[in-house]
Amino acid sequence: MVLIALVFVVIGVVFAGIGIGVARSSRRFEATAARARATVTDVRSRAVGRGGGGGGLIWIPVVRFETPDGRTVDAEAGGGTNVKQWEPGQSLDVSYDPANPADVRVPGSGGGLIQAVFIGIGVLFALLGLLLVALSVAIG
Amino acid sequence: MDYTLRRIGPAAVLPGAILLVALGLSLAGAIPIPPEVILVLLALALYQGLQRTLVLRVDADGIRLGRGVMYEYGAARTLRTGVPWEHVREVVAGPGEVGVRLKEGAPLPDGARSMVSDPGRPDVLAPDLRVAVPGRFDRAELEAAVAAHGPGVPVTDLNRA
Repeated sequence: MVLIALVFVVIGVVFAGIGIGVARSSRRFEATAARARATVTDVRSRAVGRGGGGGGLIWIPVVRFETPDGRTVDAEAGGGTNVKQWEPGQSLDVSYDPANPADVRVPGSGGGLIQAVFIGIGVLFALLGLLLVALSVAIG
Repeated sequence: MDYTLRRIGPAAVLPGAILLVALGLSLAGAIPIPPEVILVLLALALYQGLQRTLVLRVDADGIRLGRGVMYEYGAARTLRTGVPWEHVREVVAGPGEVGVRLKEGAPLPDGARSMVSDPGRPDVLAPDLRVAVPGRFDRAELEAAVAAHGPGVPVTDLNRA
């Protein structure tokens, strides 16, 4: 019983850790990112999981924009969504890393929900594990 | 005349090799899995393996660069950049590497994740548009295939700039 409880706690800590790590990384990126007005040149889909789309599709916009120093960036904007929100020709605001303009993201798309889900599952598992530990100690 | 270059690595042949052994054991009656099932899995593994071995292909459609495999969205994906001839400015070849430079304004090719075009440094190759080639790479065959399918597209030295 205690062993199972500890497994729950470990799984919970790992999930929550991943969620917190990704959230911190996103926050760091947004704090230093530059902004640009981009044009969607393509929208690509990517299957989630094995089996060619059995787990659904992620839609990723391909954008083109110019940096203040005159470079043209074409890139898949990270943080795709499972709903096709973009069409070629559409304009949208993007964030990019000034030191590596190929790292482009669409502010507010995708990532936040995934981080919340990871942290939520992690906290749930950890609490469940701690509850099981407390129960097994109380029982004997 | 097409030119195809493949790299045979453990990741490509291991699943097939394991299934081949399983097929032998199944035929010998040592394992209770029908050989037909193993044959189908073997065919799938060989097909998958073959897909992952592609390093470079030059044909009527354009140029494909096999950039390996990455794990993303819960699955292993084969990274392959495909550039149609209408977007190829030149093919560059150097010791151990082949790349493609695009015409101005060309869109991000299929399979490429990003490219940054700097008008002050037009000869810089985007990482997704270059690939390391094994020692068997034959520049003369590459040039012949490019001449056959992409008339007017030059093959230049990678270190020219």
